[in-house]
Amino acid sequence: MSEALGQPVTIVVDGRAIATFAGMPLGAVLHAHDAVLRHLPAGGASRGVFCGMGVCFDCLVCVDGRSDVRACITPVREGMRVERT
Amino acid sequence: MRVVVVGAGIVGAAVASALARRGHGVQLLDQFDPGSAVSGGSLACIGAHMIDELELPALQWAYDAWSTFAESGGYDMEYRRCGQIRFLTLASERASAERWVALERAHGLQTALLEPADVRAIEPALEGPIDAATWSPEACMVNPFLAVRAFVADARAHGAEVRSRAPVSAIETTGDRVVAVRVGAERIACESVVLAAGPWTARIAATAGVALPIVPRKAQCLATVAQPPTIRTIVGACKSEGGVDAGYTQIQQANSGQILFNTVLAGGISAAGGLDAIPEIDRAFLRDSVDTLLRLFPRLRDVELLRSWVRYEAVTPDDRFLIGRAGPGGLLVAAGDGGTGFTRAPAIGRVIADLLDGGPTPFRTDLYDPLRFAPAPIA
Repeated sequence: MSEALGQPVTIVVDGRAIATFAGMPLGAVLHAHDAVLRHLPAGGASRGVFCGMGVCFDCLVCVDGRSDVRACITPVREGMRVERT
Repeated sequence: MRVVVVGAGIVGAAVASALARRGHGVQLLDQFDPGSAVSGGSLACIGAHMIDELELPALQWAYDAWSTFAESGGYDMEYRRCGQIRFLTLASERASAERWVALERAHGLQTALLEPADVRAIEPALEGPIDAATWSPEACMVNPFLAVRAFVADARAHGAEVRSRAPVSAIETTGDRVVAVRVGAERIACESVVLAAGPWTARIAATAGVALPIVPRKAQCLATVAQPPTIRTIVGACKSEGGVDAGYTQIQQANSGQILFNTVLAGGISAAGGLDAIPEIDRAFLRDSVDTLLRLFPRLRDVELLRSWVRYEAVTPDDRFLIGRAGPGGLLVAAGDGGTGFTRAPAIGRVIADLLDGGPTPFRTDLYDPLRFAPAPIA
């Protein structure tokens, strides 16, 4: 199992450092810490990883200053800065 | 009277509500779920602007009925009086726009023609080049799913029975009257049938020997991921004349924050079988609509698209609904939205209820005679 993992990396989520491995899906990494990634602007309902394959757009986060990035299909890189909304 | 209403889109739901409120025994049937087809795929706008001069009193009646229903407080349908802008890109379009403004003002509406600077005061994100725009401050938007559910709930609250996944395959007649509808092997006896099945209406009417000139017209839509409040009004191109061949564009921001883009292509009649498929938008539509959206609203450049969908509007040769009796006794038609079913739905409910009860309707109904296109009998 461990030989399938990439290099150890650190990403920053809402200012907090999280250790993981390069190439892991960002959605999976975030989900392991907190299933809630954001709240709908209308009504405030919780959203997180749902379809896991880039279709439902429920797992949108801000990555390195770019908003509306689908976490589930975004591979983790060293130093990536993630903000949940 | 026992009445079956076929189709639980916004029209069927409003008809069921109107009939149930008059004390009729209503069954509202949908082949899928309420609002799951054309209505749910709509950008539900309610207004009387640039639709039809002769229908203005009926449209204003429907507008007031929406206002009463939405503001009764019984149902949340995200009803919002946001106003509508129809932009002109060519100076040659001004004469037509000025004519619409004059006739709507003569009917008491507050329609106006605005210069670009005034348009931007109302809709600051509309920064693209336009020549002028019409402004209809009365226009409202409503959440299409919630609005259908509100009318369905209102029908239920007044005693109607509502059924999903109940596709009507045939209308049964005895002598010259309808006596039942068929849903698979099931027979539902009734004294009247109201066909409010949108683009599926002609097919069902044909089982009672009634030929209706309703054709499906492809409307294509895009939605972006939710954005902060950006577009305040309903933005559209000015009306191009001409029934089935007319095209239009509509842009607005839903309460969810998603920016919605809807285009009906001129002559976009569906391919055979398209109505019952799950169709995809055309590539050319995607390219053209993104170009249009960014030309008008350049600040949306980096926004992600979320989804796309297609619906089939039911269109008649003169862009007016077919509302009224047709064929065997007890058969009524309420279909032919031409993309304006939400606006007209309460008025259609009123007409159908008045026809069944024999009472007077407060606006013209002859414009909607379902048999107006039938060839005159040979003397």
